[in-house]
Amino acid sequence: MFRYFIISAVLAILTLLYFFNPEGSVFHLKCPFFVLTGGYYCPSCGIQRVIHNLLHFNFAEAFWYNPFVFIISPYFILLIITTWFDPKKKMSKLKNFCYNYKTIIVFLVVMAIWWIIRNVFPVFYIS
Amino acid sequence: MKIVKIGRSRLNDVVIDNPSVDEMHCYIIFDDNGKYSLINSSVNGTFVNGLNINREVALGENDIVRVGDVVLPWKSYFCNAPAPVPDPEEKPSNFLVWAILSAVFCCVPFSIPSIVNAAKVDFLWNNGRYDEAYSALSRAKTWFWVSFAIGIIFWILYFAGLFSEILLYDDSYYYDDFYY
Repeated sequence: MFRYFIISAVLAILTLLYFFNPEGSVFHLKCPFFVLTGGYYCPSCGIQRVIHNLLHFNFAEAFWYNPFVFIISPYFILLIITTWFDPKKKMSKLKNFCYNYKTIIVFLVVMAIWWIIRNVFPVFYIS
Repeated sequence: MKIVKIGRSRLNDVVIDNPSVDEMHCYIIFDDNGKYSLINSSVNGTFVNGLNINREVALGENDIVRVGDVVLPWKSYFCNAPAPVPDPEEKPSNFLVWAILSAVFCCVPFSIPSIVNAAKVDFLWNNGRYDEAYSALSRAKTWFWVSFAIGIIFWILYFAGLFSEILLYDDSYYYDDFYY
């Protein structure tokens, strides 16, 4: 029951992002951190543009909007699949890898470094 | 002497239907001297107080035995009292995915404690510190809801402001200079 709700919500979001380009649009979700700190980026700023470009297969542009999300997305998809879409528990070794304490620490450290870098060197500029 | 066979297969004395438990996972023996010992016959290991035992170990009264994701109420297997055997305790569900989702989609600063606590849940539970694992889980949930609430409130206010601006947009404003 819950599973169908999640799948339909995700499909709805993907459909919206496919047809409407978040770039320059006012109607998409704005990052609270970006607005409230007056312009400092959070680690996931630009994720909607990344998803939009991935759906249109523009991988180069998707990468430049948010490299961190682009690279972490396989791990993220793996996390979701091993948690909710694995009833026969065939992927339990992968699941243990995803949930391992060390993996999470690496993820947090990389996220923190990315957070600092993108605010200090605004190479990956998004408005 | 009493031997209790534990595993997923129905040939066992204690059958545990959980995919993380082996068909014939382990045996607990109560010998004629009144001592308990545990023999592991599984591939993935049997854990006593968080430590993976090699093959055989003596069990003390207060030792905690875990097979896969399940903690066994093993002492009750040897009581002859007709009281019902308590259910084996399963690992609490993991909140990590929600924590990371809140970091990506909502307010990042408040999601970090959620992620850290969710990661601790697994770590603590596997080391046998079950009380701490449950409290880490509740902390992870609390921080998740904080981050989620801030994100939702922000977006409601943002869209409310946006739509009120659209609805209240007054076209005549720009003609003040030219309208004599």
